[in-house]
Amino acid sequence: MISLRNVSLGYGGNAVLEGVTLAVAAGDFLIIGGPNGGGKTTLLRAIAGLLEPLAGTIERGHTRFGYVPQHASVESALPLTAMEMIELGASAREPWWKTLVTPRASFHLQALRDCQAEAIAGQPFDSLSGGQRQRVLLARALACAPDCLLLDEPTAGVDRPTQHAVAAMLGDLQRSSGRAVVLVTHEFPPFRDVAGRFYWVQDGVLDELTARDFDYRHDNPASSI
Amino acid sequence: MPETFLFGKALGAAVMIGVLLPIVGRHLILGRAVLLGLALPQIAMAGIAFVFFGASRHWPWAESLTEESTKALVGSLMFGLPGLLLIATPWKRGTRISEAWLAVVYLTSVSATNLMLATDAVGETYLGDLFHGRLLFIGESELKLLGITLSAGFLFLFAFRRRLLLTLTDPDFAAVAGLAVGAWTVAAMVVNGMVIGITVATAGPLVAFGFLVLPVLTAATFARSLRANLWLAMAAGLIIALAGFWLSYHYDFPLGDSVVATGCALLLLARVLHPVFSPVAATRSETPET
Repeated sequence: MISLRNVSLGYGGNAVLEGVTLAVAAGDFLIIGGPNGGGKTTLLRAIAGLLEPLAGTIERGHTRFGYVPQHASVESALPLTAMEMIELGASAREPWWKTLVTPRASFHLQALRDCQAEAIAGQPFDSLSGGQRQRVLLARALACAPDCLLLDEPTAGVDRPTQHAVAAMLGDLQRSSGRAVVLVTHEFPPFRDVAGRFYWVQDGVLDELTARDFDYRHDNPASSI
Repeated sequence: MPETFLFGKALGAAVMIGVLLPIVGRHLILGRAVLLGLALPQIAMAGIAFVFFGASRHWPWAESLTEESTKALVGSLMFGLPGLLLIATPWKRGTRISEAWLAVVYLTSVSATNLMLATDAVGETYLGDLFHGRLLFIGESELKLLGITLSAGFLFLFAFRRRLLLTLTDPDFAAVAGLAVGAWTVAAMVVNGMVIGITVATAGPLVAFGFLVLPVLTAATFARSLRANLWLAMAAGLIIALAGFWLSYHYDFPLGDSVVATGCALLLLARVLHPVFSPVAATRSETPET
């Protein structure tokens, strides 16, 4: 599905990550951790196609991505509802002439239902709590019918019960649909039981770890295995 | 009878601008680029001043534009479109336009306009009228051009509103989902630039900026969705145009100033009345949109 071979990533010619080799197949659930500024988001943006590699190759085939950013804010002066957020997102995957007609409301409501956010469909996005916003952003990504979900800190700034709820929801979505999930996070515990592969980014290097080693690194980020 | 005909064209232009311009304003507000809506009319004014300045200096190409309204249209688009594309360059890369740089563009445009007009009495008179809203002097051909531009711009922005609003609100998501964000952003900029440029040339910068912002914000006081906001903004634009026209006709005020003052008063009234209507709005929000 996705393949990175000996990739270097960075900004303005300065590499943040070097020698990255990684393959993601359908049904994989990858979790990427590491200290702040280590290059987690840089790696996710490169997989998403938002950042060109400085060296190496990235193959994505015909993979359709659904992207969940760390934060999304909309102008508070205008009332953009959760349902309208889904409609806008879903329009990206449709041929342009299909976006001229009325959107498929039932499909969009299903995406909200899958994320347990149906009740807030008519609420302005700007008025939602952090956890509700993350559910809407996830529903928007699902409305693109993606083969692979890319999530950048989807539980940042939300309380612990919501973190576990989001993690369980992602696990269910991955198991039921066979989608690949690549997730960058600082909050490892909620995802310990749902993720299948664990990666750690530090000092410009990407390492694959066992869940136990990942747990250790997460609790002791200055250490090395 | 000729006076009635003249006012009919002015009223028609005011109503067209009031009803069709808010969709452009919605783009600018949602894209957090309201200052662009302020700077762009001023860039267009600098272009108009430049053409008048050229004619006063007997530059052949400027002198060949015999009608004042043609000078205004050429100048408005000549500066407005390239200016907009230049300002929008960082935007199509997914970064926000710097408000500080927009302020610099605004200041540069104002000072350049005033300097060019300092030695050009004809241009100074024309731009003076334009600033106060030159709707009363609008001609048949200007009215047609305004109608065609506003209608075409509205149709484009309405038909592709979902993609255009997505690229505005979350360019990263749009790019990952496969949209050509740069192309859609430039297309929106060109359409917005054409609409604003021609509105400025025919109605003036005050009327253009007023109708970009005031109806949308007035509607946002009551609307609970973006869809409802657009229809309410168009209704608010119609009310502002009609009431502003009546005010101007009845008290012999400058039309542009009357229209904008009416828009400000309606926005204030909406904010004052909002608590009265908010329980109704809250009830409406409980029903998911389909």
